[in-house]
Amino acid sequence: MNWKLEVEKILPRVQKPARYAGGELNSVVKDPAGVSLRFAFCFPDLYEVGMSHLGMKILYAQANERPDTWCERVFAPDADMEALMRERGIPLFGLESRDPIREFDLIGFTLQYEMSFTTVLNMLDLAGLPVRSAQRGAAFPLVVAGGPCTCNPEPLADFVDIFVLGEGEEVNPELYDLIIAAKKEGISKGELLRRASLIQGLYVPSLYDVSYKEDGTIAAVTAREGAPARPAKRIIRDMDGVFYPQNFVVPFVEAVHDRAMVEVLRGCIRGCRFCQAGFIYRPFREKSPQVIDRDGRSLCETTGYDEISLSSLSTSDYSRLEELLDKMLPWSEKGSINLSLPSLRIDGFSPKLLEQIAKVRKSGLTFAPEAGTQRMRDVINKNITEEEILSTCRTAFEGGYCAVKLYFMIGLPTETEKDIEGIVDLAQKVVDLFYSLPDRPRGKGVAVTVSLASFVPKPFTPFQYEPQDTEEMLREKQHHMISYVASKSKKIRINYHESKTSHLEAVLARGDRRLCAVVEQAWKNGCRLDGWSEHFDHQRWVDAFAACHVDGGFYANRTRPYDEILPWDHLDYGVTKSFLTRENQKAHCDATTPNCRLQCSGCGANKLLGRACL
Amino acid sequence: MRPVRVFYTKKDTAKYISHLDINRCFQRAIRRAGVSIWYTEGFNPHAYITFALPLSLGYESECETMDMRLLDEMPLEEVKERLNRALPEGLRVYRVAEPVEKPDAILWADYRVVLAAKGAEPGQAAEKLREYLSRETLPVIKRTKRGEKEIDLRPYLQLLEFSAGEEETELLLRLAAGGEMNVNPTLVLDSFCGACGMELEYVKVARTAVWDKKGEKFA
Repeated sequence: MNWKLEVEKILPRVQKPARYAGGELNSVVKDPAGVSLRFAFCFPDLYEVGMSHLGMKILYAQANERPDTWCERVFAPDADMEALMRERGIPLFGLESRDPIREFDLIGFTLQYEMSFTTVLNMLDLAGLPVRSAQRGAAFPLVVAGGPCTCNPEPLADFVDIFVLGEGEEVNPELYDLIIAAKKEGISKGELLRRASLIQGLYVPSLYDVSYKEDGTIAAVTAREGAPARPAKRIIRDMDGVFYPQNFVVPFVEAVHDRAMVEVLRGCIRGCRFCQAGFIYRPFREKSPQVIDRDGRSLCETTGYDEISLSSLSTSDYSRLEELLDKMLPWSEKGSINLSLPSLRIDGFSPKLLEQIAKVRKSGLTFAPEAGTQRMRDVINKNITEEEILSTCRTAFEGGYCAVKLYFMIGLPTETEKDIEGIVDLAQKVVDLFYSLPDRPRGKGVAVTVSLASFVPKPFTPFQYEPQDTEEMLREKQHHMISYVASKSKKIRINYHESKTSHLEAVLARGDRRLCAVVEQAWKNGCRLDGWSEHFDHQRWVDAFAACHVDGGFYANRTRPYDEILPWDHLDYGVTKSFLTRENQKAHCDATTPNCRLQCSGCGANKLLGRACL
Repeated sequence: MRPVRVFYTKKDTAKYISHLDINRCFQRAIRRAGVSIWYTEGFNPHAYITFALPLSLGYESECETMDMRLLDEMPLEEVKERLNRALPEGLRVYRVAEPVEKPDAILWADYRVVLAAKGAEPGQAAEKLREYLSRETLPVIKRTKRGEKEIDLRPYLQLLEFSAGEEETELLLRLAAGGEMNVNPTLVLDSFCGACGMELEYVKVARTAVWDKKGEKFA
């Protein structure tokens, strides 16, 4: 069967065929005969989402820099493409070569969010591979997965051969070397996995036995065959020396984030207690302005993008932001390139910074106070005050902005009705502030949008022990807020997130290996692309839990004692459990913890660095 | 400021770039090429480029044009070379010249169509297609901005070449093009399928020439 010809026949019949056609500028094509390792980098979501992801761009370019390796991109096909592929028996293929990825040596997934888990299974199946690791007897293709969700990979433990813990730029090259050597020697899959388990940053789930107590909690996790008792994540120590791509693949169809991106820093100094990224990416490390400026300039030249974003968890925490902007503004302005700064913290705005930003773009502003009352913000350690929020909004309004988007969460630990109402009250204060300003933009009204997310407790956060509100509780809180805002103002708009997916996220995020069966059943029931409301079908998941006799509430809605063995306790992500417990106790006393610049709180992540972070 | 017309081909994977996306693709290529052109003024300035005759998604072409306005004095041969270095695979500039006529001079376009019918006996589809295309009237429903209307394709369609192979049928069609009446090969094939109860296994289309009102190639 000539797959390439078959693909050509179906492409004219699908929506946005350029998503499957390859051939984009800067995509890498090599001679398969000239490489020792073929790597299918799979993003378990649609092209437009995957092509927005910086991590994939970095690892794609890094792998392809090696003469012995050819890395190709693979995304989940949309429903129309999948139907035609299945109808004609076309196996999932790499975009660059259109060769079936089941013939590759390495299949790597990035796990960015829990709702992509069923898509991972679906992509393995579309590739023509058994979804269960144990049923893939041959050593190759080896199926690995990395990304933030691997900090608790247990719900995918039965499907993935190796999980990459921590930063791929650091550990992937060793994985590639291992595979190339294993191919030469012709060793068995078992031997390959044993060797992989000895590399720091690789976790081989099949080498760990999990036993359970009668109450359903974990009794013990035991390593076998010489695997380390606590596999640890790997990090880059020298951010200025780390590989960074000098070009990006430029998509033809518009990606969600279709622009050049430079990474400014990794980790976060803040320690917001709900935020997983704030803990799993520790320790805090910055790049120097020279390196960022050089990379940004090169990217704009090689891609032709007219927008570049300074990317990080909290770009305003970059200690040399003004210095960096002074370097970047002249050439970006001259080249009509928009500079965008996502992830700005509300307390990070100096007047000069605001002026620098306003120079390039005047759209809406977004802030994330996350909670409506000071008490609630203290509980989650979002160390900002109402005065700071309002004074930032004042600066913004006086600078000509008149639309503000405020992000909040509901269902936070210890939350009361007063905290819910506090969200609306705060939004109303922002509205009132606008009309009180003599210097407000003339002839325009103010628009305050409140975006409400439901709190999802995550592993490796101080809230990893917390119960999530049940769906009913969350729905009641949403309704209460809607009726409260209706009595207040028409200038406030409330957007909120479906609580059904939040519940599933909570189950999967803190799940153990018994969820593998549920994920598999959900996929068999037809689940895939669960992050898309048009594809998400809650009933299929409900049926899957019932068929597997698993109670989602056990994972989502239960308070976990500090001494319970959590499904991810055997993984070492730098931050220690004792630190997370301490932080949880402080949360319940409404006590805050200063950010890392003010004082080290001893989270433990600096042992990965071998020195103090700051 | 010097208006120029860029003549290019669109082939292979580039045929999957939609008309909207080709605009963005050229904007970026022009930036990478270091060719400075006129930008629109206003809230969100962008490079001012226009395309004479949109090409449907999935079609190849040997004769596309894109107009832009050069800001700096640069030999047109150099503009061509710079663009070719910056364009992705499948898009190739073969000529850059001063525009002779406006896009509204366009009257006809030629398309080479290769198709295979689903489940048909060898030669059967070709026979039906030849019969269909020689009918005295060819009523079709055409969707326009103002809604659907029935038109007779006959005055807007000429069959220039026809050859039937074992599985594939190849034809060269001349179809009305431009602002007043634009006929797309897909419209012709869809109406053929509807009228003759056929289904196509696949179809490949390439635009091979664009003609003006004087019967000369659009320049």
